[in-house]
Amino acid sequence: MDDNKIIDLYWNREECAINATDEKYGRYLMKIAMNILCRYEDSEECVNDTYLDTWNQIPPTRPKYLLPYIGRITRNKSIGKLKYLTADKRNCEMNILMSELEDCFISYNTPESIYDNKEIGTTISDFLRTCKKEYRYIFIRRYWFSDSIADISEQLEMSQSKIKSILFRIRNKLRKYLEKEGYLI
Amino acid sequence: MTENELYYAIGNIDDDLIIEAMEYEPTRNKNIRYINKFIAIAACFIIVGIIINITEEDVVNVNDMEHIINSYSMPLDDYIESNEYSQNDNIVKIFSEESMVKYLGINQIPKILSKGVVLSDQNTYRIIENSEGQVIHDNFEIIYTDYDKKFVTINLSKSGKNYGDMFNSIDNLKVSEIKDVFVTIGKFGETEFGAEFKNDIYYTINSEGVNEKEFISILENIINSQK
Repeated sequence: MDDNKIIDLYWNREECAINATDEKYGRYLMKIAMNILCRYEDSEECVNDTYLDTWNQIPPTRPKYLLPYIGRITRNKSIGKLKYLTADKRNCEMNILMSELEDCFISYNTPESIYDNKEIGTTISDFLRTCKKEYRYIFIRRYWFSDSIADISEQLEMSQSKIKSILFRIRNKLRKYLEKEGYLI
Repeated sequence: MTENELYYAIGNIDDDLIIEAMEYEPTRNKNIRYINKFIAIAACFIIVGIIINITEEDVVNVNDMEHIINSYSMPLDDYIESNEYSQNDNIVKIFSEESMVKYLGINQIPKILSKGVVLSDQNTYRIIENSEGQVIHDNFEIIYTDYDKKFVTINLSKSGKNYGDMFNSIDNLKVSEIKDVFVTIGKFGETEFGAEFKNDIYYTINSEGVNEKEFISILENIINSQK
């Protein structure tokens, strides 16, 4: 079913909207949640919460694209769940992923205590548009979809070290870009 | 900003970029892949190298790997894959440079590999143990870079878990001898090189942006640093 039709179902408060969403995007959402949580039951809970939030938010919100909208909800719910579950234990894959990003921003300091994630999201988007399409794909698969390096290397038929080297260079360029844009002091 | 905040912020990148990543189709051609593999293997049968060690001088042979660069994916690391996903059953231990050197039983790791190519400040050294305290993954990745175009990674391992991956689909490889160490070297185009050798522990080296001469010099530097 077309995304606009699914959004119309939400808009008209028809409960089959959830089934239609699950049928079209349920697997993607589960993958996003599983990449972060690695546990089926918790991932399923996050995906179900995503459907509930979507139901509550549409209307009044009318997203232009459905997948990024609901994917973002799943991603945020999964990160929140991970924080709750791993107060003292950490997930191996996320541990590695987070440490990659930590490397990128080790010297960060800003006078403002509250940071506008949306604003920096737009800046990161602007930066990604300057990258090669393939590099952009690797970055987004790794840090938005939270795919493992092994998965990405299999998708692109590249070695894992090649993927790591590409990510390393993008992170360095991103750091320079954010410095130039005044985000890093 | 912490890594968590950045990770959240990345969640807010524009929708069209996410759609693009969803719909992106990597270019693959399985037929070319198999043909290339066949050509690679056939070429290796034809070009059978004989190692002649007449003098004490280094013998350097660089295998041309360009024809398989886009068709050959290295076998995935089963241990990493399973550990990354088995969540809390295993323990990831972060090592300092000093503790890594001690674990591997080597003298040191070089700070500079060649002019401008220095030890990155972004290295994190990890070891993975199972719940019984047995080391199941000890592949330390050390990154060197000039923070521009040159990039060298050295993988060091005492167990040699992934050793041999780089050249395992190629028969009749020509082997080099550098400072009395037998080294297998391959090139992928003019600016990407790879090498594997065992010198007490297992070394796997990859580079981008350095030429052949510089890569050989880097190998000498690495081998010398352990003497």
